[in-house]
Amino acid sequence: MKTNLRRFRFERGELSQQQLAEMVSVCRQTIVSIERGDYAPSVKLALMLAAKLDTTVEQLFQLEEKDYV
Amino acid sequence: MFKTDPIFWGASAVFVLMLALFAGWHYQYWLALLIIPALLRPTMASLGAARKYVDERQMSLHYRSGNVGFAVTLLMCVFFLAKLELEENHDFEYFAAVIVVGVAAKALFHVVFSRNYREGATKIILVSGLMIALFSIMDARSVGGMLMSALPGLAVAGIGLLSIRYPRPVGILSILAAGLLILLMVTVGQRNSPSWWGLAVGVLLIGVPLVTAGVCLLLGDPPAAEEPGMEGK
Repeated sequence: MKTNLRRFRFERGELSQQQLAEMVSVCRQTIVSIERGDYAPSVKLALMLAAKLDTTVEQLFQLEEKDYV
Repeated sequence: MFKTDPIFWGASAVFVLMLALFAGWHYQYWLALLIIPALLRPTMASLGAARKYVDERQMSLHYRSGNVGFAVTLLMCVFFLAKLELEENHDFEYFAAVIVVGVAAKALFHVVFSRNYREGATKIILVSGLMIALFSIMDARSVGGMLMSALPGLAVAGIGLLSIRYPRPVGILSILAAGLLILLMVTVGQRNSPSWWGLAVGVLLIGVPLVTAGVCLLLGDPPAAEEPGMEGK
């Protein structure tokens, strides 16, 4: 899964990973893992991230060809 | 490095208490009980008691590592069970009890967490009945004896099948059956096999699943969410 979380974080006032983590009540390591593509967030967390970054889930995350296999 | 929340302080208090108890009385089990602080957070979160102190990624890691840890623990039990049995040491039964209780607990919580109570309850009663029948025929010496020994277990399994059609009456029946079986084990069973721990495991293995199944059948499934456009149909 491709993620634009890092780009949106910088575009929305250069939020730090810790600040964004606190905004959605997760630990910083979870944001790190999502940005690295190691962890796919739940629908709830994806919606919360999108809301806090003033965007949509589709803008934040996109499926890649390999995800369909 | 450590999250200093109420679970951290609770686990730390238990940790210090176990160390103090070990310092006072040099028994290894005080140290073995250090599993309590180690497993406090994931266990509480799994039971839904401390969700706000564990984020979803951590929970997912706990689930995955917990499953691997559970499999390793059971394999170690099988190894020591085999070792003791080959040495003709009957303490191997302790390991058999750990395996059965562990697997039964996992299956039971799986059913409860799925919230598919009715179907889950049927499965619990059916499997409990078959397990009772299986363990009963192990001690029988003839085919007739095997059939007779298997009857109570098969009756319980039959009750399980009936629960598909008559959930509430079977719910009450399974709670009564659990009471009766426990009473039989405590009276007749104790005369034949006086080991208190074997009895306790037996009561646990029969009583807990049947009572859980009975309660699940009486509760019924939670109402399903209505699909759009289904109002009034």
